[in-house]
Amino acid sequence: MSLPNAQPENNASGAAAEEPRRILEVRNLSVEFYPGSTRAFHAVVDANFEIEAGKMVSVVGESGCGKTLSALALVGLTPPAARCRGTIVHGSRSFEASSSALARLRGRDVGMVFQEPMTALNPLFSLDRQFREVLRYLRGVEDRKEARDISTELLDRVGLDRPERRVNQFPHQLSGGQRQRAMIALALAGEPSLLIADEPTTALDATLERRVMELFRKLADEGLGVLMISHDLPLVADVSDRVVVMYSGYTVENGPAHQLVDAPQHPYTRGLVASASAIVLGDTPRLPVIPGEVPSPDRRPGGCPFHPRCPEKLDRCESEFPPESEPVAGVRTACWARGGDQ
Amino acid sequence: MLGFVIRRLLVAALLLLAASFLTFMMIQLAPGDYLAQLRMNPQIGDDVVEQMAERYGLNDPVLVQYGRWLGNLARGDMGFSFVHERPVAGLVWEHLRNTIFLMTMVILVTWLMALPMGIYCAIKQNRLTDRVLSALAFVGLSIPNFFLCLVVMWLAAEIGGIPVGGMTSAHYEYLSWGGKVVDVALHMAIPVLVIATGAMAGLQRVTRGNMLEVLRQQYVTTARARGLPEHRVIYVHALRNAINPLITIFGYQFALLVSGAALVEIIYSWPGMGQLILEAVLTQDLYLVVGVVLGSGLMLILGNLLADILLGVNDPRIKFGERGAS
Repeated sequence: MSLPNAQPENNASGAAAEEPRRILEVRNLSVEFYPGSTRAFHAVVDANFEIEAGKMVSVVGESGCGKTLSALALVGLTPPAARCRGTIVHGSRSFEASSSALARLRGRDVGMVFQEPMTALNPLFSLDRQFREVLRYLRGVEDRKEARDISTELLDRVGLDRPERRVNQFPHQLSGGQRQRAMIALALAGEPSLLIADEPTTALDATLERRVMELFRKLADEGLGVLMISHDLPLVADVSDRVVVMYSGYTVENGPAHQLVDAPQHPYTRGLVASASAIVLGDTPRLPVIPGEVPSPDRRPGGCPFHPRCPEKLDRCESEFPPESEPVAGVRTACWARGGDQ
Repeated sequence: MLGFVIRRLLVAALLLLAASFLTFMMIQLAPGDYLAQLRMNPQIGDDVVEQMAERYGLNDPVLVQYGRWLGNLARGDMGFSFVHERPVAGLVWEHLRNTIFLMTMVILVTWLMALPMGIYCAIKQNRLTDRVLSALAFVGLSIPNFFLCLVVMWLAAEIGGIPVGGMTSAHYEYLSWGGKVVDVALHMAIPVLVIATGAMAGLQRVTRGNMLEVLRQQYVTTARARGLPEHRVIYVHALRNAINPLITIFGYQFALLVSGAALVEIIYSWPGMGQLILEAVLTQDLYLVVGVVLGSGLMLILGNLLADILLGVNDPRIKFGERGAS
């Protein structure tokens, strides 16, 4: 029946298994606020990363480091005061980061899940209605029954119990975890190849947090590309393939998740890992902390923004941001102390 | 929902009962009564006045009078107007109908104009159109209705062709069906315009504010991120949420217009409740005053009930009559 059709697809995915299909490539993405005015500042500087199908990439950093803005820029959702520059390649299509055409990727190519499941679902519409709307606009599904079947299936896929009952409910009738699952299912309704999750578990309690993370891992294993935005390195390192560490708008490290945790290169990543593992092991009398605070992007020090807090600071750190180097295979780090002068 | 409506109507009945009692007492407390005017008329003999007092039971104690009135009310008899020499029920209904007619038009015009303007201003926040419309709204809000009445009346008189008083022309009875509609519409144009100006200005500001607030909500960004077209995001996701507080305003405006329109009704001699109540109070036409209070009170209660029902229809989080439900 559909076998002759399925054959070439199998070949294609067979080939993809050897050479993973790249679904997103971000080149030199910068986000500047109030460009041209005296209060202009860069919230994101030259971000570079890529995501392949079936992989989960996490962008980690503290509040205000530009991780959320980088994610929003991928679908043209940055605030009006911001100007984006750089290149964003979705599959085979290349876009200017400032292009309004990025909006057309929303839903169909890129699904988005936001932080607050309480406020991110419109409270006045039942899940059924929200699904029906998305399915109608994104996939042209007009039939109520068909839309219902698809939504039930999606809710089941994200692990919501009794989906055929849940689909009739309103957001306020669901718990936080259930809402987040419903949000994920809605983000999947347009059959995107990439799912962006902006701190999807921050509003959830710790046990739920892990289960939702595992859901994202499962979705990646099913072939989706997942871009996870988080401030919690140990939480995402467990489930991610790669981790990108951002500090005050700059990408300081980008490498395989396990390697980043086992052998962090950048002093900032080291600090993050040290404070996290101290909590896990519980064997240090005092929690190792990184002294100082993250500078806000409009009051960022020159050179490497981490230098005032860095234990391995060199003289040139104050004047120049280090170029990327690869001190360990597969790990890209921007640090003068790690051979940034290569 | 039905239980909620029934419960609310029962409460409303009690409220109206209390209102009628208070009105009754207040009229009696005021010095003089309708008959006092008759007594001062040299052409009417004392025996006639006494006869009338006897007939209407005005010599009985107040409570007895009230009880009798209440008993009659239960049979649908709201008493008799001394001035108009007609049953109050028919009189109130006639004027109430005219006021509802006028208000419905005012509300239609107000909402149909203010809602789109408010939404537009919110979307184009701080652009030129927003600023111009906002400035106009403030002008509209600041002009007192009575002043606007007079200015418009003067303008209409200068220009001519538009009637500035009453609800129908003298030759109304001789007009065809279509001619009657046009005649009433012409008479209505100016009062509607005047009342709608102030109401529209306020509503436009509130709509703009609500929309701005809602457009900042996370679910609006979510709707955009889902790939929905912008018109869908604004007119469905944002507007449905922005409209909630407006429904409350609707209920309150409904009630406010009954009294707020009185001034305009009187100036333009629109045969509505405003005119009727002023006249009734001035002549101490006891049963008519109580009847008018009941009519206005009913409007107020129905307006609020309607708003509450609409709120429940719009917002699934509102559960009728469920105690402790948030």
